[in-house]
Amino acid sequence: MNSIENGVSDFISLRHVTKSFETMSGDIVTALRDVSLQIPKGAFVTLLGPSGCGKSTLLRLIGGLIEKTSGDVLLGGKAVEKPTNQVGMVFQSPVLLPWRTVLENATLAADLGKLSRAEARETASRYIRLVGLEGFERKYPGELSGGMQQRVAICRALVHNPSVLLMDEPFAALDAMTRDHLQVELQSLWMAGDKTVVFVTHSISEAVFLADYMVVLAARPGRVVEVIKVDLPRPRTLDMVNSAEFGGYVSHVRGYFEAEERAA
Amino acid sequence: MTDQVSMAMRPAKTKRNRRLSSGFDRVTMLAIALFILFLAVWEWILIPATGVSPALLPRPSQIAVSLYQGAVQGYLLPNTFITLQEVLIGFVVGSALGFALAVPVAEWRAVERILSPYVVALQAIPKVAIAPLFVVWFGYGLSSKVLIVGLITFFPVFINTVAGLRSVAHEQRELFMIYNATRWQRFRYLTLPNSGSFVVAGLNVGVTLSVIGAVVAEFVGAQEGLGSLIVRAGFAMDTAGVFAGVLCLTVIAAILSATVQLLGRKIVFWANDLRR
Ligand SMILES: Nc1ncnc2c1ncn2[C@@H]1O[C@H](COP(=O)(O)OP(=O)(O)OP(=O)(O)O)[C@@H](O)[C@H]1O
Ligand SMILES: [Mg+2]
Repeated sequence: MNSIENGVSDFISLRHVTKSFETMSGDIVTALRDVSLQIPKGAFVTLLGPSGCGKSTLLRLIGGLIEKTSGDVLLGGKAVEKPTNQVGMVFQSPVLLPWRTVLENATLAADLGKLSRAEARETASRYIRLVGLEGFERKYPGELSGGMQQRVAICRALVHNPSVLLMDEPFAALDAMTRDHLQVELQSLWMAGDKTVVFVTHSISEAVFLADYMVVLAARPGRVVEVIKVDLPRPRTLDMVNSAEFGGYVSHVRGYFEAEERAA
Repeated sequence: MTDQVSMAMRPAKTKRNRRLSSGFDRVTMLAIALFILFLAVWEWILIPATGVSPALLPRPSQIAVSLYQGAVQGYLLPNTFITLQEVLIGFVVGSALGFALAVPVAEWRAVERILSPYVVALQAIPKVAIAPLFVVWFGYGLSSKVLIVGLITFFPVFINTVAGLRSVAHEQRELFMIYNATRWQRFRYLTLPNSGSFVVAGLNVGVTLSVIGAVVAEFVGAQEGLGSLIVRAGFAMDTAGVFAGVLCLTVIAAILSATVQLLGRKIVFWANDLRR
Protein backbone atom coordinates (compact mmCIF):
# COMPACT_ATOMS: atom_id res chain seq x y z
CA MET A 1 0.00 0.00 0.00
CA ASN A 2 2.51 2.59 1.14
CA SER A 3 5.02 1.23 -1.29
CA ILE A 4 7.45 3.46 -3.06
CA GLU A 5 7.00 2.62 -6.73
CA ASN A 6 10.26 2.70 -8.52
CA GLY A 7 10.56 -0.49 -10.50
CA VAL A 8 13.85 -1.34 -8.78
CA SER A 9 13.70 -4.30 -6.46
CA ASP A 10 13.05 -3.26 -2.87
CA PHE A 11 16.16 -3.19 -0.77
CA ILE A 12 14.66 -2.38 2.62
CA SER A 13 11.24 -3.83 3.13
CA LEU A 14 8.86 -3.56 6.07
CA ARG A 15 5.65 -5.55 5.94
CA HIS A 16 2.92 -4.99 8.50
CA VAL A 17 5.44 -4.18 11.17
CA THR A 18 4.17 -3.52 14.66
CA LYS A 19 6.37 -2.61 17.58
CA SER A 20 5.12 -2.20 21.12
CA PHE A 21 7.02 -1.47 24.27
CA GLU A 22 6.18 -2.34 27.79
CA THR A 23 6.65 0.69 29.96
CA MET A 24 7.97 0.53 33.50
CA SER A 25 4.45 0.88 34.89
CA GLY A 26 3.46 -2.21 32.89
CA ASP A 27 1.43 -0.44 30.19
CA ILE A 28 1.86 -1.38 26.56
CA VAL A 29 2.81 1.46 24.23
CA THR A 30 2.34 0.82 20.54
CA ALA A 31 5.15 2.78 18.96
CA LEU A 32 4.43 1.56 15.42
CA ARG A 33 1.29 -0.14 14.14
CA ASP A 34 1.07 -2.08 10.90
CA VAL A 35 3.77 -0.15 9.07
CA SER A 36 4.52 -1.25 5.52
CA LEU A 37 7.25 0.46 3.56
CA GLN A 38 9.43 -0.50 0.61
CA ILE A 39 12.67 1.34 -0.01
CA PRO A 40 14.58 0.78 -3.27
CA LYS A 41 18.36 0.45 -3.35
CA GLY A 42 20.22 3.71 -3.56
CA ALA A 43 17.27 5.89 -2.55
CA PHE A 44 17.39 8.78 -0.14
CA VAL A 45 14.38 8.44 2.12
CA THR A 46 13.41 10.91 4.82
CA LEU A 47 11.13 10.00 7.70
CA LEU A 48 9.12 12.95 8.90
CA GLY A 49 6.66 13.16 11.74
CA PRO A 50 5.83 14.67 15.11
CA SER A 51 7.74 13.77 18.25
CA GLY A 52 6.93 10.33 19.57
CA CYS A 53 5.51 8.96 16.32
CA GLY A 54 8.08 6.18 16.19
CA LYS A 55 10.70 7.52 13.77
CA SER A 56 13.62 6.41 15.91
CA THR A 57 11.91 3.11 16.57
CA LEU A 58 11.54 2.52 12.83
CA LEU A 59 15.21 3.29 12.29
CA ARG A 60 16.29 0.99 15.12
CA LEU A 61 14.20 -1.81 13.66
CA ILE A 62 15.90 -1.45 10.28
CA GLY A 63 19.31 -1.31 11.98
CA GLY A 64 18.56 -4.44 14.00
CA LEU A 65 19.04 -2.67 17.34
CA ILE A 66 15.60 -3.72 18.54
CA GLU A 67 13.24 -6.51 17.61
CA LYS A 68 9.84 -6.09 16.02
CA THR A 69 6.75 -7.31 17.84
CA SER A 70 5.18 -8.64 14.64
CA GLY A 71 5.56 -8.34 10.86
CA ASP A 72 8.64 -8.60 8.67
CA VAL A 73 11.71 -6.40 8.46
CA LEU A 74 13.91 -7.30 5.50
CA LEU A 75 17.23 -5.89 4.41
CA GLY A 76 18.52 -7.02 1.02
CA GLY A 77 15.94 -9.81 1.08
CA LYS A 78 17.07 -11.17 4.46
CA ALA A 79 15.19 -10.88 7.73
CA VAL A 80 16.88 -8.43 10.09
CA GLU A 81 17.64 -10.04 13.43
CA LYS A 82 20.68 -8.19 14.65
CA PRO A 83 22.92 -5.43 13.33
CA THR A 84 24.96 -6.33 10.28
CA ASN A 85 27.98 -4.83 8.58
CA GLN A 86 25.67 -3.50 5.89
CA VAL A 87 24.47 -0.76 8.20
CA GLY A 88 26.05 2.49 9.35
CA MET A 89 24.32 4.70 11.87
CA VAL A 90 24.47 8.38 12.79
CA PHE A 91 22.75 9.39 16.00
CA GLN A 92 21.11 12.61 17.05
CA SER A 93 24.20 13.53 19.07
CA PRO A 94 27.65 12.78 17.63
CA VAL A 95 28.47 10.13 20.29
CA LEU A 96 32.20 10.52 19.70
CA LEU A 97 34.62 8.93 22.14
CA PRO A 98 36.37 11.91 23.75
CA TRP A 99 39.63 10.01 24.35
CA ARG A 100 40.07 9.28 20.65
CA THR A 101 41.22 11.74 18.00
CA VAL A 102 39.08 12.56 15.00
CA LEU A 103 40.87 9.95 12.92
CA GLU A 104 40.71 7.35 15.69
CA ASN A 105 36.98 8.00 16.10
CA ALA A 106 36.38 7.71 12.40
CA THR A 107 38.25 4.39 12.27
CA LEU A 108 36.47 2.83 15.25
CA ALA A 109 35.08 0.10 12.98
CA ALA A 110 38.62 -1.18 12.42
CA ASP A 111 39.21 -1.69 16.15
CA LEU A 112 35.95 -3.61 16.25
CA GLY A 113 37.20 -5.92 13.52
CA LYS A 114 35.04 -4.71 10.64
CA LEU A 115 37.95 -3.96 8.32
CA SER A 116 41.73 -3.65 8.36
CA ARG A 117 43.30 -0.66 10.07
CA ALA A 118 45.16 0.45 6.95
CA GLU A 119 42.02 0.32 4.87
CA ALA A 120 40.04 2.17 7.53
CA ARG A 121 42.64 4.89 7.79
CA GLU A 122 42.64 5.41 4.05
CA THR A 123 38.85 5.50 3.72
CA ALA A 124 38.46 7.67 6.80
CA SER A 125 41.02 10.18 5.52
CA ARG A 126 39.10 10.40 2.27
CA TYR A 127 35.78 11.06 4.02
CA ILE A 128 37.37 13.49 6.44
CA ARG A 129 38.59 15.44 3.42
CA LEU A 130 35.17 15.24 1.77
CA VAL A 131 33.39 16.73 4.78
CA GLY A 132 35.96 19.50 5.07
CA LEU A 133 37.81 18.39 8.18
CA GLU A 134 41.24 17.99 6.63
CA GLY A 135 43.90 19.07 9.13
CA PHE A 136 41.75 18.14 12.13
CA GLU A 137 42.65 14.43 12.10
CA ARG A 138 44.68 14.63 15.28
CA LYS A 139 42.32 16.88 17.21
CA TYR A 140 40.13 15.56 19.99
CA PRO A 141 36.32 15.90 19.95
CA GLY A 142 36.47 18.41 22.82
CA GLU A 143 38.33 20.75 20.50
CA LEU A 144 35.66 20.67 17.77
CA SER A 145 32.36 22.47 17.31
CA GLY A 146 29.11 20.51 17.36
CA GLY A 147 28.82 20.62 13.57
CA MET A 148 32.36 19.35 13.12
CA GLN A 149 31.70 16.53 15.59
CA GLN A 150 28.60 15.48 13.69
CA ARG A 151 30.66 15.38 10.49
CA VAL A 152 33.13 13.04 12.20
CA ALA A 153 30.18 10.85 13.20
CA ILE A 154 29.12 10.69 9.54
CA CYS A 155 32.65 9.66 8.50
CA ARG A 156 32.67 6.98 11.18
CA ALA A 157 29.38 5.56 9.95
CA LEU A 158 30.70 5.38 6.39
CA VAL A 159 34.16 3.93 6.94
CA HIS A 160 33.24 0.24 6.80
CA ASN A 161 31.40 0.98 3.55
CA PRO A 162 27.86 0.05 4.61
CA SER A 163 25.20 -0.11 1.93
CA VAL A 164 22.65 1.49 4.23
CA LEU A 165 23.13 4.69 6.19
CA LEU A 166 20.63 5.30 8.99
CA MET A 167 20.55 8.82 10.35
CA ASP A 168 18.46 9.81 13.36
CA GLU A 169 17.96 13.58 13.35
CA PRO A 170 21.70 14.06 12.89
CA PHE A 171 21.49 17.82 12.39
CA ALA A 172 18.77 18.60 14.92
CA ALA A 173 21.13 20.13 17.47
CA LEU A 174 22.90 22.40 14.99
CA ASP A 175 22.33 26.03 14.09
CA ALA A 176 20.49 26.80 10.85
CA MET A 177 23.56 27.77 8.84
CA THR A 178 25.63 24.72 9.77
CA ARG A 179 22.62 22.61 9.11
CA ASP A 180 22.11 24.00 5.58
CA HIS A 181 25.77 23.45 4.89
CA LEU A 182 25.78 19.86 6.11
CA GLN A 183 22.63 19.05 4.14
CA VAL A 184 24.41 20.09 0.96
CA GLU A 185 27.50 18.08 1.97
CA LEU A 186 25.45 15.02 2.79
CA GLN A 187 23.72 15.22 -0.57
CA SER A 188 27.03 15.27 -2.44
CA LEU A 189 28.41 12.41 -0.33
CA TRP A 190 25.34 10.37 -1.18
CA MET A 191 25.41 11.30 -4.87
CA ALA A 192 29.04 10.16 -5.10
CA GLY A 193 28.11 6.64 -3.96
CA ASP A 194 25.28 4.16 -4.21
CA LYS A 195 24.20 4.06 -0.60
CA THR A 196 20.64 3.86 0.58
CA VAL A 197 19.96 6.53 3.20
CA VAL A 198 17.13 6.60 5.70
CA PHE A 199 17.13 9.98 7.37
CA VAL A 200 14.90 10.94 10.29
CA THR A 201 14.03 14.57 10.79
CA HIS A 202 11.28 16.74 12.18
CA SER A 203 12.17 19.63 9.92
CA ILE A 204 9.87 19.69 6.90
CA SER A 205 12.21 21.68 4.71
CA GLU A 206 15.14 19.42 5.57
CA ALA A 207 13.01 16.42 4.65
CA VAL A 208 12.03 17.91 1.29
CA PHE A 209 15.54 19.13 0.51
CA LEU A 210 17.19 15.74 0.92
CA ALA A 211 14.52 13.27 -0.11
CA ASP A 212 13.85 11.13 -3.10
CA TYR A 213 10.95 9.90 -1.02
CA MET A 214 9.44 11.53 2.01
CA VAL A 215 7.66 9.22 4.41
CA VAL A 216 5.15 11.11 6.55
CA LEU A 217 4.27 9.46 9.84
CA ALA A 218 1.53 10.21 12.34
CA ALA A 219 1.54 9.54 16.06
CA ARG A 220 -0.53 7.48 18.50
CA PRO A 221 -0.14 4.90 17.18
CA GLY A 222 2.84 5.52 14.90
CA ARG A 223 1.85 4.83 11.30
CA VAL A 224 2.69 5.88 7.76
CA VAL A 225 0.19 8.36 6.38
CA GLU A 226 1.78 9.14 3.02
CA VAL A 227 4.87 8.53 0.94
CA ILE A 228 5.68 11.50 -1.26
CA LYS A 229 8.10 11.34 -4.18
CA VAL A 230 10.10 14.54 -4.37
CA ASP A 231 10.78 15.37 -8.01
CA LEU A 232 13.22 18.22 -7.63
CA PRO A 233 16.35 18.04 -9.78
CA ARG A 234 19.74 17.10 -8.25
CA PRO A 235 22.01 18.39 -7.03
CA ARG A 236 19.65 20.52 -5.03
CA THR A 237 20.83 23.95 -3.98
CA LEU A 238 19.88 26.16 -1.08
CA ASP A 239 18.25 28.57 -3.56
CA MET A 240 15.70 25.93 -4.45
CA VAL A 241 14.23 26.21 -0.97
CA ASN A 242 12.59 29.43 -2.11
CA SER A 243 11.13 27.98 -5.31
CA ALA A 244 7.39 27.51 -5.73
CA GLU A 245 7.83 23.79 -6.31
CA PHE A 246 9.73 23.32 -3.06
CA GLY A 247 7.15 25.41 -1.24
CA GLY A 248 4.43 23.18 -2.67
CA TYR A 249 5.93 20.09 -1.04
CA VAL A 250 6.41 21.90 2.23
CA SER A 251 2.85 23.17 2.47
CA HIS A 252 1.45 19.81 1.41
CA VAL A 253 3.23 18.09 4.32
CA ARG A 254 2.48 20.88 6.72
CA GLY A 255 -1.20 20.22 6.05
CA TYR A 256 -0.90 16.87 7.82
CA PHE A 257 0.67 18.28 10.92
CA GLU A 258 -1.81 21.11 11.20
CA ALA A 259 -4.68 18.68 10.83
CA GLU A 260 -3.13 16.59 13.58
CA GLU A 261 -2.70 19.59 15.85
CA ARG A 262 -6.36 20.51 15.37
CA ALA A 263 -7.35 16.97 16.23
CA ALA A 264 -5.20 16.96 19.35
CA MET B 1 46.29 45.16 5.38
CA THR B 2 47.48 41.90 6.83
CA ASP B 3 50.44 43.64 8.43
CA GLN B 4 48.22 46.19 10.05
CA VAL B 5 45.96 43.51 11.40
CA SER B 6 48.76 41.44 12.83
CA MET B 7 50.42 44.54 14.28
CA ALA B 8 47.19 45.53 15.89
CA MET B 9 46.71 42.03 17.20
CA ARG B 10 50.12 41.39 18.66
CA PRO B 11 50.31 44.06 21.38
CA ALA B 12 46.79 43.27 22.50
CA LYS B 13 47.69 39.63 22.92
CA THR B 14 50.91 40.18 24.86
CA LYS B 15 49.21 42.73 27.06
CA ARG B 16 46.61 40.22 28.04
CA ASN B 17 49.24 37.57 28.70
CA ARG B 18 51.21 39.93 30.90
CA ARG B 19 48.13 40.86 32.85
CA LEU B 20 47.27 37.21 33.37
CA SER B 21 50.72 36.15 34.51
CA SER B 22 51.31 39.18 36.72
CA GLY B 23 47.87 38.64 38.21
CA PHE B 24 48.86 35.09 39.06
CA ASP B 25 52.15 36.26 40.58
CA ARG B 26 50.39 38.86 42.66
CA VAL B 27 47.94 36.32 44.05
CA THR B 28 50.77 33.96 44.91
CA MET B 29 52.72 36.71 46.58
CA LEU B 30 49.66 37.81 48.50
CA ALA B 31 49.09 34.26 49.69
CA ILE B 32 52.70 33.96 50.87
CA ALA B 33 52.54 37.36 52.56
CA LEU B 34 49.34 36.43 54.36
CA PHE B 35 50.89 33.19 55.56
CA ILE B 36 53.94 35.01 56.93
CA LEU B 37 51.61 37.52 58.60
CA PHE B 38 49.67 34.65 60.14
CA LEU B 39 52.87 33.14 61.57
CA ALA B 40 54.03 36.54 62.82
CA VAL B 41 50.74 37.23 64.58
CA TRP B 42 50.92 33.79 66.16
CA GLU B 43 54.54 34.26 67.27
CA TRP B 44 54.54 37.84 68.52
CA ILE B 45 50.97 38.80 69.28
CA LEU B 46 48.81 35.77 70.02
CA ILE B 47 51.17 33.92 72.37
CA PRO B 48 52.48 36.93 74.37
CA ALA B 49 49.05 38.55 74.58
CA THR B 50 47.23 35.47 75.80
CA GLY B 51 50.12 34.09 77.80
CA VAL B 52 49.35 30.57 76.65
CA SER B 53 51.86 28.09 77.98
CA PRO B 54 54.12 26.59 75.30
CA ALA B 55 53.10 23.19 76.65
CA LEU B 56 49.63 23.88 75.22
CA LEU B 57 50.42 25.89 72.10
CA PRO B 58 54.01 26.29 70.88
CA ARG B 59 55.26 29.27 68.94
CA PRO B 60 56.05 28.76 65.23
CA SER B 61 59.74 29.22 66.10
CA GLN B 62 59.56 26.36 68.61
CA ILE B 63 57.99 24.13 65.98
CA ALA B 64 60.79 25.06 63.60
CA VAL B 65 63.36 24.18 66.23
CA SER B 66 61.64 20.88 66.87
CA LEU B 67 61.67 20.13 63.14
CA TYR B 68 65.35 21.01 62.95
CA GLN B 69 66.24 18.83 65.95
CA GLY B 70 64.22 15.96 64.50
CA ALA B 71 66.16 16.28 61.30
CA VAL B 72 69.66 16.50 62.79
CA GLN B 73 69.08 13.90 65.47
CA GLY B 74 67.94 11.64 62.67
CA TYR B 75 64.54 10.41 63.83
CA LEU B 76 62.14 12.57 61.78
CA LEU B 77 63.15 11.42 58.32
CA PRO B 78 63.24 7.64 58.98
CA ASN B 79 59.85 7.83 60.67
CA THR B 80 58.46 9.85 57.78
CA PHE B 81 59.70 7.17 55.39
CA ILE B 82 58.09 4.43 57.45
CA THR B 83 54.71 6.16 57.29
CA LEU B 84 55.16 6.98 53.61
CA GLN B 85 55.93 3.33 52.93
CA GLU B 86 52.79 2.17 54.76
CA VAL B 87 50.68 4.72 52.89
CA LEU B 88 52.09 3.90 49.47
CA ILE B 89 51.91 0.12 49.73
CA GLY B 90 48.46 0.23 51.32
CA PHE B 91 47.18 2.72 48.77
CA VAL B 92 48.45 0.74 45.79
CA VAL B 93 47.13 -2.56 47.15
CA GLY B 94 43.77 -1.10 48.21
CA SER B 95 43.10 0.76 44.99
CA ALA B 96 44.26 -2.15 42.82
CA LEU B 97 41.86 -4.47 44.65
CA GLY B 98 39.08 -1.88 44.54
CA PHE B 99 39.50 -1.54 40.80
CA ALA B 100 39.87 -5.26 40.15
CA LEU B 101 36.71 -6.10 42.09
CA ALA B 102 34.73 -3.25 40.55
CA VAL B 103 35.08 -4.67 37.04
CA PRO B 104 33.16 -7.94 37.54
CA VAL B 105 30.65 -6.22 39.82
CA ALA B 106 29.87 -3.60 37.18
CA GLU B 107 29.88 -6.06 34.27
CA TRP B 108 27.86 -8.95 35.66
CA ARG B 109 24.66 -8.46 37.63
CA ALA B 110 25.04 -11.90 39.21
CA VAL B 111 28.44 -11.02 40.69
CA GLU B 112 26.99 -7.80 42.02
CA ARG B 113 24.10 -9.58 43.69
CA ILE B 114 26.40 -12.10 45.31
CA LEU B 115 29.03 -9.64 46.49
CA SER B 116 27.07 -6.50 47.31
CA PRO B 117 25.84 -7.60 50.79
CA TYR B 118 29.44 -8.11 51.89
CA VAL B 119 30.56 -4.86 50.36
CA VAL B 120 27.75 -2.93 52.02
CA ALA B 121 28.48 -4.57 55.38
CA LEU B 122 32.22 -3.95 55.13
CA GLN B 123 31.60 -0.40 54.09
CA ALA B 124 29.32 0.23 57.06
CA ILE B 125 32.05 -0.76 59.50
CA PRO B 126 34.04 2.26 60.66
CA LYS B 127 37.46 1.09 59.51
CA VAL B 128 39.19 3.13 62.16
CA ALA B 129 37.30 1.27 64.87
CA ILE B 130 38.64 -2.10 63.83
CA ALA B 131 42.24 -0.91 63.65
CA PRO B 132 43.06 -2.40 67.10
CA LEU B 133 41.86 -5.76 65.84
CA PHE B 134 44.25 -5.60 62.92
CA VAL B 135 47.12 -4.82 65.24
CA VAL B 136 46.23 -7.80 67.37
CA TRP B 137 46.00 -10.03 64.33
CA PHE B 138 48.93 -8.81 62.30
CA GLY B 139 51.27 -7.31 64.83
CA TYR B 140 52.94 -3.96 65.39
CA GLY B 141 54.78 -3.96 62.09
CA LEU B 142 54.16 -2.94 58.52
CA SER B 143 51.50 -5.50 57.59
CA SER B 144 48.76 -4.31 59.96
CA LYS B 145 49.25 -0.74 58.74
CA VAL B 146 49.19 -1.73 55.09
CA LEU B 147 46.00 -3.71 55.62
CA ILE B 148 44.17 -0.84 57.30
CA VAL B 149 45.34 1.65 54.70
CA GLY B 150 44.35 -0.78 51.97
CA LEU B 151 40.91 -1.34 53.46
CA ILE B 152 40.31 2.38 53.80
CA THR B 153 41.48 3.09 50.25
CA PHE B 154 39.50 0.23 48.78
CA PHE B 155 36.01 1.68 49.10
CA PRO B 156 36.25 5.05 47.37
CA VAL B 157 38.12 3.45 44.49
CA PHE B 158 35.74 0.52 44.28
CA ILE B 159 32.57 2.58 44.43
CA ASN B 160 33.77 5.21 41.99
CA THR B 161 34.99 2.61 39.52
CA VAL B 162 31.68 0.77 39.60
CA ALA B 163 29.84 4.05 39.01
CA GLY B 164 32.26 4.94 36.21
CA LEU B 165 31.96 1.60 34.47
CA ARG B 166 28.19 2.02 34.56
CA SER B 167 28.21 5.57 33.26
CA VAL B 168 28.08 4.52 29.61
CA ALA B 169 25.35 6.45 27.80
CA HIS B 170 22.57 4.61 26.00
CA GLU B 171 23.61 5.95 22.61
CA GLN B 172 27.23 4.89 23.17
CA ARG B 173 25.99 1.40 23.88
CA GLU B 174 23.93 1.45 20.69
CA LEU B 175 26.94 2.65 18.74
CA PHE B 176 28.83 -0.46 19.78
CA MET B 177 25.77 -2.62 19.14
CA ILE B 178 25.56 -1.38 15.57
CA TYR B 179 29.08 -2.74 15.02
CA ASN B 180 28.21 -6.04 16.70
CA ALA B 181 31.02 -5.41 19.15
CA THR B 182 31.85 -8.24 21.52
CA ARG B 183 31.61 -7.78 25.25
CA TRP B 184 35.38 -7.55 25.50
CA GLN B 185 35.59 -4.96 22.71
CA ARG B 186 32.92 -2.87 24.40
CA PHE B 187 34.83 -3.04 27.66
CA ARG B 188 38.20 -2.31 26.10
CA TYR B 189 37.16 0.54 23.81
CA LEU B 190 34.18 2.06 25.63
CA THR B 191 33.42 1.09 29.22
CA LEU B 192 36.96 1.15 30.57
CA PRO B 193 38.18 4.46 29.13
CA ASN B 194 34.79 5.99 29.85
CA SER B 195 35.23 5.23 33.55
CA GLY B 196 38.56 7.11 33.67
CA SER B 197 37.49 10.32 35.36
CA PHE B 198 35.47 8.41 37.96
CA VAL B 199 38.43 6.19 38.81
CA VAL B 200 40.69 9.20 39.19
CA ALA B 201 38.14 10.86 41.49
CA GLY B 202 38.12 7.68 43.59
CA LEU B 203 41.91 7.63 43.76
CA ASN B 204 41.90 11.27 44.87
CA VAL B 205 39.62 10.50 47.78
CA GLY B 206 41.51 7.30 48.54
CA VAL B 207 44.94 8.90 48.73
CA THR B 208 43.85 11.39 51.38
CA LEU B 209 42.10 8.71 53.39
CA SER B 210 45.14 6.45 53.16
CA VAL B 211 47.30 8.91 55.11
CA ILE B 212 44.61 9.09 57.80
CA GLY B 213 44.48 5.30 57.85
CA ALA B 214 48.22 4.94 58.38
CA VAL B 215 48.30 7.45 61.21
CA VAL B 216 45.35 5.91 63.02
CA ALA B 217 46.91 2.48 62.68
CA GLU B 218 50.12 3.82 64.18
CA PHE B 219 48.23 5.48 67.02
CA VAL B 220 46.76 2.13 67.91
CA GLY B 221 49.97 0.22 67.99
CA ALA B 222 53.33 0.89 66.43
CA GLN B 223 56.95 1.44 67.37
CA GLU B 224 57.79 3.56 64.36
CA GLY B 225 56.23 6.09 62.04
CA LEU B 226 54.96 9.63 62.33
CA GLY B 227 51.80 8.51 64.09
CA SER B 228 53.71 6.85 66.93
CA LEU B 229 56.07 9.83 67.04
CA ILE B 230 53.10 12.14 67.54
CA VAL B 231 51.66 9.93 70.27
CA ARG B 232 54.97 9.82 72.13
CA ALA B 233 55.45 13.58 71.82
CA GLY B 234 51.94 14.04 73.13
CA PHE B 235 52.60 11.91 76.22
CA ALA B 236 55.79 13.90 76.85
CA MET B 237 53.78 17.17 76.61
CA ASP B 238 56.06 18.08 73.69
CA THR B 239 53.43 19.97 71.68
CA ALA B 240 56.06 21.41 69.37
CA GLY B 241 56.99 17.82 68.50
CA VAL B 242 53.33 17.02 67.81
CA PHE B 243 53.09 19.99 65.49
CA ALA B 244 56.30 18.96 63.72
CA GLY B 245 54.86 15.48 63.12
CA VAL B 246 51.57 16.85 61.87
CA LEU B 247 53.45 19.14 59.52
CA CYS B 248 55.34 16.19 58.03
CA LEU B 249 52.07 14.28 57.58
CA THR B 250 50.48 17.26 55.87
CA VAL B 251 53.40 17.49 53.47
CA ILE B 252 53.12 13.78 52.66
CA ALA B 253 49.38 14.03 52.07
CA ALA B 254 49.71 17.15 49.95
CA ILE B 255 52.47 15.71 47.76
CA LEU B 256 50.66 12.40 47.26
CA SER B 257 47.38 14.10 46.48
CA ALA B 258 49.04 16.48 44.00
CA THR B 259 50.78 13.54 42.33
CA VAL B 260 47.53 11.61 41.94
CA GLN B 261 45.81 14.68 40.53
CA LEU B 262 48.62 15.31 38.09
CA LEU B 263 48.66 11.70 36.95
CA GLY B 264 44.87 11.73 36.72
CA ARG B 265 44.90 14.78 34.50
CA LYS B 266 47.47 13.07 32.26
CA ILE B 267 45.49 9.85 32.04
CA VAL B 268 42.03 11.34 31.52
CA PHE B 269 43.39 14.25 29.51
CA TRP B 270 40.09 14.67 27.69
CA ALA B 271 38.02 15.45 30.79
CA ASN B 272 39.19 19.07 30.88
CA ASP B 273 38.18 19.62 27.27
CA LEU B 274 34.79 18.17 27.94
CA ARG B 275 34.05 20.39 30.87
CA ARG B 276 34.83 23.47 28.80
N1 LIG C 1 12.66 1.59 24.99
C1 LIG C 1 11.39 2.06 25.07
N2 LIG C 1 10.60 1.70 26.11
C2 LIG C 1 9.33 2.14 26.19
N3 LIG C 1 8.77 2.98 25.31
C3 LIG C 1 9.49 3.37 24.25
C4 LIG C 1 10.84 2.95 24.08
N4 LIG C 1 11.33 3.51 22.95
C5 LIG C 1 10.32 4.25 22.46
N5 LIG C 1 9.23 4.18 23.22
C6 LIG C 1 7.94 4.84 22.95
O1 LIG C 1 7.61 4.65 21.60
C7 LIG C 1 7.12 5.84 21.03
C8 LIG C 1 7.93 6.22 19.81
O2 LIG C 1 9.25 6.58 20.24
P1 LIG C 1 10.35 7.06 19.23
O3 LIG C 1 11.57 7.34 20.02
O4 LIG C 1 10.48 6.10 18.12
O5 LIG C 1 9.74 8.42 18.69
P2 LIG C 1 10.37 9.48 17.68
O6 LIG C 1 9.44 9.63 16.54
O7 LIG C 1 11.76 9.14 17.37
O8 LIG C 1 10.29 10.81 18.55
P3 LIG C 1 11.32 12.04 18.59
O9 LIG C 1 11.05 12.88 17.39
O10 LIG C 1 10.93 12.76 19.84
O11 LIG C 1 12.70 11.49 18.64
C9 LIG C 1 7.09 6.87 22.12
O12 LIG C 1 5.78 6.95 22.63
C10 LIG C 1 8.02 6.32 23.16
O13 LIG C 1 7.59 6.69 24.44
MG1 LIG D 1 13.68 9.99 17.90
